[in-house]
Parts: sequence; structure tokens; C-alpha cells
Amino acid sequence: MQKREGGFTSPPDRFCNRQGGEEILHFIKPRSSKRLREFPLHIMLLPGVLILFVYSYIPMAGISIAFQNFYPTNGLFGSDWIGLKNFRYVMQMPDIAEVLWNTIYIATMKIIAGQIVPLSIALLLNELKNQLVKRGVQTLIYLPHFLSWILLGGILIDILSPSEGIIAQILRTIGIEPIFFLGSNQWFPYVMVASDVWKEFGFGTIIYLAAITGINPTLYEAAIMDGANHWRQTWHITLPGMLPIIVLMATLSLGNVLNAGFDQIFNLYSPAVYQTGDILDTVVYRMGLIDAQFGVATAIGLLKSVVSTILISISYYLAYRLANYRIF
Amino acid sequence: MRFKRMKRAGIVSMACVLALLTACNSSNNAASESKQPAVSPESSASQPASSEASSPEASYDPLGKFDPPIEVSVVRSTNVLKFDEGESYEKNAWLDFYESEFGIKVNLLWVSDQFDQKMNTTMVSGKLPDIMPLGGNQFKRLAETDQLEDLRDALEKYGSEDLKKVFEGGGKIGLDSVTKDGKILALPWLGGYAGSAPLLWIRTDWLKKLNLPEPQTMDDVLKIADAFVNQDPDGNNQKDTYGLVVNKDLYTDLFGVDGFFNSYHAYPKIWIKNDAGEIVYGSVQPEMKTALAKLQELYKNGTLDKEFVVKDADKVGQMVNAGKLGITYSVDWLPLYLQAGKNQDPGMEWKPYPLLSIDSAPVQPKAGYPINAYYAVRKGFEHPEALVKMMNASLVLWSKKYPDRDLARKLEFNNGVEKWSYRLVHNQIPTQNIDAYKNVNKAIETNDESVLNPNSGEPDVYKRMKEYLAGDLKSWGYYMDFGPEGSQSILAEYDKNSAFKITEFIGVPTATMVNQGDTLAKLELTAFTKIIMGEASIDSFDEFVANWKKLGGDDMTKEVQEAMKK
Amino acid sequence: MKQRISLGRNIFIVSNYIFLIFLSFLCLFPLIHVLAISFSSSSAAASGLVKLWPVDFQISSYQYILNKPEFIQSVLVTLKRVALGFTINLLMSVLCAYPLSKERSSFRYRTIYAWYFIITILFGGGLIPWYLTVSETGLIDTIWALVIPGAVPVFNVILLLNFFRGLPKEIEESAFMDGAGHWRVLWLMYIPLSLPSLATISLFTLVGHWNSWFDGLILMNFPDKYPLSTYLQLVIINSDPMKMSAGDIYKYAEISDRTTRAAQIFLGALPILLVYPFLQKYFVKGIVLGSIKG
Repeated sequence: MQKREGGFTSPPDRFCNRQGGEEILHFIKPRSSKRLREFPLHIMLLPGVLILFVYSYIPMAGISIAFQNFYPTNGLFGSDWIGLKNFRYVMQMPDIAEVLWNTIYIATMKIIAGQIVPLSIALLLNELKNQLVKRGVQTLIYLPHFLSWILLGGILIDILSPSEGIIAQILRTIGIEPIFFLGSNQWFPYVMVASDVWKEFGFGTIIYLAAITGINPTLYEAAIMDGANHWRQTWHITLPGMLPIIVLMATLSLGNVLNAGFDQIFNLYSPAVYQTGDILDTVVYRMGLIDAQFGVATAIGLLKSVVSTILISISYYLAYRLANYRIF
Repeated sequence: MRFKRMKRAGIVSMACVLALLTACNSSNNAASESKQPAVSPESSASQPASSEASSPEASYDPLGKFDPPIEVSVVRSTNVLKFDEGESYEKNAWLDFYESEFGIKVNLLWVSDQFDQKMNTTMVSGKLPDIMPLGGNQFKRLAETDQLEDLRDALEKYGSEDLKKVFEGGGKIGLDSVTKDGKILALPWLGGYAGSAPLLWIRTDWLKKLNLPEPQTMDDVLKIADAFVNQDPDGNNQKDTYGLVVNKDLYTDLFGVDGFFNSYHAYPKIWIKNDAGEIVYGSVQPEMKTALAKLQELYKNGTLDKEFVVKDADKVGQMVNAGKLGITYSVDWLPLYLQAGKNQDPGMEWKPYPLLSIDSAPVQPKAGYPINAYYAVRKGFEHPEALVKMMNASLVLWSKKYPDRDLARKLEFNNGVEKWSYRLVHNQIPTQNIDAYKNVNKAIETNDESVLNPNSGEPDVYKRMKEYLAGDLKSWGYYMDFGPEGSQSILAEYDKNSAFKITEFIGVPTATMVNQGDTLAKLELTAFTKIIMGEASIDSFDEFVANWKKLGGDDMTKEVQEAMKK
Repeated sequence: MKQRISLGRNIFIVSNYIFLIFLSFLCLFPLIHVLAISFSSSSAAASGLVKLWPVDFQISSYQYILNKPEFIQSVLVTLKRVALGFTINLLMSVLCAYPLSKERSSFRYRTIYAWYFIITILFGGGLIPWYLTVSETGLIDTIWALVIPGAVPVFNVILLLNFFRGLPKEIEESAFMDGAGHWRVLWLMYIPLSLPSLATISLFTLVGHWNSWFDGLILMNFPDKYPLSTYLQLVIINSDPMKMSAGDIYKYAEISDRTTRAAQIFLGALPILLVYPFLQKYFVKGIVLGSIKG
């Protein structure tokens, strides 16, 4: 792809514009003017840094709960230190392997589908010329986000009922035997993924649409002049133009690999599908019903944080090394 | 991917973990101060209750006034449904009453719907309120870290007769469960076991339609269930009705199967004494196997809704209200839930029956031992007797005690507003609902309202029952609960004969319960669900028992036996 | 120069419209169902009879919610909270995204700052220490508790910084050559050119503040300080029949839970429905072009 006139470099080119020499020059050149220019940037960041320090970093001290046999009245640090015992306790539960697998399996599917679907819908929406329809669709697909799983759970149970549900009726007319979706260990995870994507894809779509609007229209004009059809335009201009955002969203969502969706699963699961549907969070929840499990809950939270951080760091550095692109 | 929401969801999940830990579990504890109509015998309560002879009467007055007045900091959860004009949690007639009558000036630190959360954070901050209504686990934590004041002395000296009566007999177990090394660390608000006992409910309009007699034995019930499925009781020529109600969680107050198992002399989920007198866990006893086999059969032949395995009690309740189910085992207040269905279909009639047995031995319905709240005083507070006095106050019939002070309107019941619910401290006698039933029916018979105890819902229940008798179907629910053939009548019989099988384990969860409780519960539910669905044979029950014992069941049993020995 | 439209293209366009319209109806139906329940009688709702149209039409659940003086009170709190929170969040997002969007050559420490921000959404100590911090800084029971702790929406910052990066570097370079500093570049150039992304994060901020109910529940000591979403939550939690015990009989008779729950959800979604279409006019292509020549 050629570099365009006008100075606006398209993103793929941006990936490769770092020259090693430039960095070395920084060490040699006098820096006072640079520093002066940077100063306002620090000022701009100051309030954010302070607020985050007080309300996000200081509370992190509570991670200590994960390592104690926690009694609230002893304060945050006063209970007996038991090291990794909380972690070991969870890892030694009889069906933890199954539960972990369920969690990762469902979460990963949600991550993948949760990227592909909004992306595709955004691209399709982009093709709509009629502004009224476009805005209408944009608004409506965001609606499911506002419904709670308590409510949606009930609706889904009705829709998916093998005897009376609308899905079963449709299946019957095309000759397929009704499937007990929510009661079958085989189907349960997929139903969770599909319904969750349906509920939340509107959010991602908004972001991708915003990304599309940021692409320089002259690129399209030039491509049309070169004879590119719509598909080629999408492939060579739209997608690359969205690439930074796509990579960003994908990376951040990687952090959710242990979050299979407590709210949803809690409202839809049942003993019949514990085998494939019981996840980390539902186990912790049920343990908390018997006795408040401060230590264990915090330990699980810490575990999730560590895993998220590792995955996100890996993608960050991969993106940096391979494409010289810093995701954030 | 939305991290703020993710984190928020994480916080909320943890919050839910902590908040709901005491929600539905009626056999141990409850965080919200659920109220039950309280009955207090008409005795004057201002008798000194001291057993020590050396102090003058006046200083041990159970309802005496603090002079000079004292300040007490408290917290509470948001459980008042309706406030009178101009009243709120921070400003109401009871708070004024505590001050004017007892010299107790209440400083309300906070009111919260997420009581557990807020209480947990309060505990960590180290600033405990003087008087606190705690859930079972919070009580346990505070007791273990020696944060609670000993109330034995205060109870002895200042407890009114009525209060002491509450803690005698059946109530003593409750008090024992909060006693540690001889110190009474809380005054439990006893919930009354009758409210957790399942009754057999049958749709009598369907019985009439199909010309079936009322059941006398469990076999009759099974026959009726079969008829409800196959003989089209709703008359629409479709096989769309089921015989027996079950929901995915199996053991719930409404629409559960506890009562079914009880009819086979099986007692899942509670602790019972076996023939040797030892305390054992009900779900692993052999009687369960027979009952489970029956349920498996009922699932197979369509008496049970095959989709029950994914429906919770609420969802199933919707089906019942829509007229799809005819038999259920539920607790006493079911008809109030069914009122919605009645409003939709006035021809719907439900009647409660005592649990019918599978053999000649009568059935004892299971009962839990609910403790609605543990009222405790923080260690170091100089006036623990303030709590005792406030609790005494909850048992007094103020309008009867001082008939010229117009206290009924202020403190008890005023035009649809349940004023007694403003109270910070509650207690009641375990048989209060049954007493309410007796009082209300007597009042209707004799047309004399003076026998009603306005300290609870009795005037309201009375009003509703009269409305029903006058033809208003919207009060049908009350009538089926408190009426002459309603739930309370059956419960009263059971109570008279001491026929409840109350759980043998009363107290906060033991170590193994905390550590392995969820694993074992999950094991049980999964195994039983599979058996009922026919995915596992009935003999897998034996495997389940073996697994249960191995994975912590035996340890748990030993701990329970130990705990109840003292 | 117009493109010739092929038959294949036409088919695609038509099926695209059909598909997307179908999809949006799929998303609309549950909300219609909720709406129908909220306008139905409680007994019909409790029997599961309501599908897409109210059964036994009544407005009592809305009346129940709206008639309480607490409702008006909570709406006021929410309006205050949304106004404050929206302004602060947007301000913070812009102020933080701008420096972080610079390259390391213009801003040496940006990566460190970036990780500083990211870590806060990866790790947390849980509810209790967070509550204690808010308490120790004296915010409990004030409107600021709902606004300050969450003042820096890190996810929005990251989004915005990526959008800022998409703006041509020439803007900055030419402005510096004219003697302007970062402040002017930010306010006079970046902001006007970032309307789509600002509209996006505005929407998220608004939705977030309007629907956030848990913080109000925990951080306020008394119900009269609750925002609307918290107040609605209160109404609902109190009325779940399965969570009630026998003693709550008298409560149960008063509340029609399913319809109030439905009304609550609808009231929660309503403002967004009203605001979002308005914000959409900023999602317009081609704003970033034109005047930035040379």
C-alpha cells in the first residue's frame, strides 16, 4: 500500500516509524526545552494520579486479607497470617479442576465471540446509508445491556423450553428434535456464550463505530478512484484503520479469562448442569452463603488479577516487539 | 472487557457473597429483621426479675427509666415497609418512646439495605455501635474475637417475666447456642419453628372436578397426582398439567420436596437422631432411597414437570399461579403467594393437609430453628441492660398497659401502618402465629376484638378474614393461612402433640461445614438431581453416601455431635 | 465519481438492512416484554401470563414507585450525581488521555504513567479497604462519595488516548511552530476533532452514573441520600418473595414484585434511550479531515 500525499500517515505505516537513532539523540541533545514543553503534561496527569493513588492504590492494601485468617474486627492487618493457605484451600477442592476448566472455557469463548460479533456488526452498520435506520439500530442493539440477568434468566428459560419455547417450535418445524438447552451439560456453555454476546455486543459496536468514523475519508476516495470495490475497501482501509482499537479491545478483554460471568450463570444454572456450568465465582458465592469467606474471596480476586495482568502484559509486549505499537 | 464494570461486578459478587449468606437459610440465621406477629400474654411486666435479694426493687425495674438518660448508638437494616406521615428511620414514634419512657436516647449511625456489607465494613473500622442486630456469622466472628459484652447479669436482673419465658423450654436451646464459657453473648430473636414446617397443599377444585376423595395416605396422594396429570383437570383437552411440584433447588420453603421426603420418614438437609440416639445427617439415611426412587418414577411417567431441573422456586410458582400444578409441599404462608393466582382465576381452591404417611407410622414434618437476629452489645458499653429493656418493651402490650395514653396508634398499628415494625429490638414467643390463629378465630367467633394482640399483624389479619367471609376473594390467602381449616390450624395440632421434628443442630456452622459444606451440598444436589432425572440409577445413592462420608460428611457429623453435647 | 452498483452489491445491501433490522427487533423484544409486565396486574405477572402486551392494564407499580416522596428525593440526588460525575469524568478522561497519547519521544515517562493507570483496573483490595478509604477521606454520606472515588474512568481514558493517537501529528507540530503549548493544542484542536470518541465516552459515563446503585447503597448512611438506582434497588430487594421469611407475610401482601421490578428496569433504561439518539449525531464520519492540510 502506498504512502499517501498530504502527510496523514495511515496506521500501518505508523507501526514502523520508530528509528533507533532518534532515541539515542535524546540522550545527547540538551533537554531543557523538551522538559519545559513536557511540564504541562505532568500537570494534566496530576489530579488523576492523586485520585487514583488515594482511591485505587491505597485500598490495594486490602489484598492482605487474602493471606490472613481474616476477622473483620482485627482490622486489615491484625488477623493471623496464613500465607497461601487460602489459595491452597481452593485449589484442593475436589472438583476445582472441572470448575476452573468451565470458567476458562466459557470465558474464552465469550472473549472471542465478544470481539468478532461487535466488529462485524459495526462493519455492517457502517454500510447503511439511511441515517434513520442506522441510528435506530444503533440505539436498539444497546438495549439488552440494561436488562438484568434476573429478568433475562426467566425469559431465556421460557424461550428455550423444549416443550413450549419458541426456539423448540422453530426447530420442530424444520424437523429437529427439541433440545433441552438449559438442562443439558453439552449445550449449557454455548447458550451462556450466545446469550451473553447478545446482551453486550451493543457496547463494543459503539466503540468500533466510533473508530470507523475516525478514518480519513480521502483514503476511501482514493481507493474508489483506483477501482477498489466495497470489500477491498473494507479489507484495506476500514479494518486497518480500526486495528489499534481492535487490538486494544482484544487485549483488555483478555483480562477477563477467569470471569465467566457470575450474574448470568447464577441466574441460569442448576444442579443439572453443575458439571459444565459451575464456575469459580459461583463456587465462591455458595461458600459465602455458609460462612463469609473474606480470605478466600480476596484470594480468588487476587488470582484473577495476577492472571489478567500476565496475559495483558504478554499481549502488550508482543504488540510492541512485533509491530512497534504500544497498546496503551 | 469493561474493567470498571468488571471490577464493580467483582465487588458486587463479593458483596452478594457476603450479603446473601444469611438470606434464605432459615435454619440458622437471618440478617434482615423479619418480623412475625408477636403475641405477648397480658401480664404486667414491671416486676423486678432479680434473683438477688440484696438490692432494692426500683433499681432492677425491667421497664425502668435511665436517669440521667443515656445515649446508645445503633444500626439497623431497612425493613420497615411503610412509614406514617412525617416519620422515617431517624425520626419516629418508637425512638421518641425509647427516650421518653426509658431515658434511652438513640443515636442511629446508619440504616442500610445491604446490612451485611455495611456491618462488615463497620467491624473492620473498629467502631462498633453499642447495640447491634447481627446475623449468625457476624455474631460468630465477634464472639470469637471477644468483642461482645456478657449479658447474663443484665438478663437476670432486668429481664421481664415475658422475656424470660421466651428463653425457657424450646427457647432455651436458642439461648444456649449463643452462650460461650458461661457468658451469654447475645439475645437471639427466635423465629418460631412452625413457620418452616412443610404442609401438603392440594387443589381442591380439581379434586371436585375429577370426583376424587380427599387423601388419607400417601398412596392416595400419588393416585391424585396421577389423576391431575392424565385426567385433564383444567378441562382444556390438553395434557398440560402436572401432578407434583418440584424446583431445581429441591429444598425450598415454597414448592420444595422436603414434605415429600418427610412423608417417607426421610429428613433431608436437617440433622436427626437415629435409633441409637446419635445425631446424624438426614440426607444420607436409607429412607431417602425409597423416596428418591419414587421421585424417579414420577419423573419418568410425567407426573413431574421434566423441565423442573432448570426452574427455581419463583419460576415454578408462576406455573402454579397459572394453573398448571395441583399438588405442592410448602410452608404455611403459601396461600399469600398464591393470592395472585386466585386473583387471576377465582375458581382456584387450595387446601392444606397434614403430611400423609407412606405407611402406618404418622409423619412428623421437619422444622428448622430460625433465629431472625442476634442482638448483641459491644464489649465495654456501660449499660448492657439497655438492650434488655428494649427487648422487654417489644413484648409488652402497651395499649393494654396504659389504655389512656393512646399508645396503640403511636406504637402498634395505625391505619394500615405497622408501627411496631419501627422497633429497634424485637422478640417473640415461638408459637406466635399459632397464637394469632387462636386469637383471630376467637375474635371472629365471638365478634370481640379485644382478644387481639395489636403488637403484630393480628388486627390486620382479623380485618382480612372478615373481608373474605363477606365475599372479598382478595383476602382468600389470609383465610387459608389463619382460618379454621388453614395452615395454622394444622400447625396448631402438630404443636399440641409436639409432633415437629426440629433439627437437632442449632448453632453457627462448624469448621467442616465452613470448609466442605459447599462441596457436600453440591454433591448431594447433583446426585439427587441425576437420580430423579433417571440419568443415574437409584443405586448410585449408595455411592453418594460413601462419597459424602469420605469428603467430610463423617467429620461434620462428629463435630455436630460434639457441639450439641453441651 | 459515483461507483457502479453491481447486483451482488444490491443483494448485499438489502439483506444487510433486513438482517440488522431483524437484529434490532430481537434486542427490542425483551424490553417490550418488561414494559408489558410493568403495566400489567401483579397477579397476571405472577402467573407468567404476560408476553408482549400488558394483561389487565394498570399503572399501579409506577404509581407505587413514583408516589413515594423518596422517589423525588432520589431523582434529585441522581441528577446532581450525574451532572457532577459526568463533568468530572469527562474532564479527567481528557486531561489524562492527552498526555498518555503522546509518544515517548515527546513525553518520556508516558509508559510508566500508562502502567500506573492500568494497574488500577487490574488489581483491587476488595470492598472493605475501599470503603474504609472513602470513609477516612470524609466522603461517606455526601454526594462526593458517588463522584470522587470513581473520578478517573481508566477504561475511557485508554479509549480516548487511542482516538487521540489517530489524529494527525501535524496538528501538534504546526501549533507548536506557531508558539502554542500543549494546553492550547488540547483544548482548541484535539477536542473539536474528537467528537465521535468524546460522544462515546460521554455515553458510557452517563450510563455508568445513572445505573450505578451499589455505591449509593454502601456509601450512604440513610435512604434519603440514595440516588434513584439505589432507591429502586431497595424497592426490589425488599419484594422478592423467595427471600422473605414467614414473618414478612404482611409485607408480601403489599407489594407486586414482578411488576415493580419491571418498572424499575424500564425507569433505569429510559434516560439512556432518550440521550443516546441525541449523541449519535456526533458519530459522523470525516470530521478529522479537511482543515488539516499542510
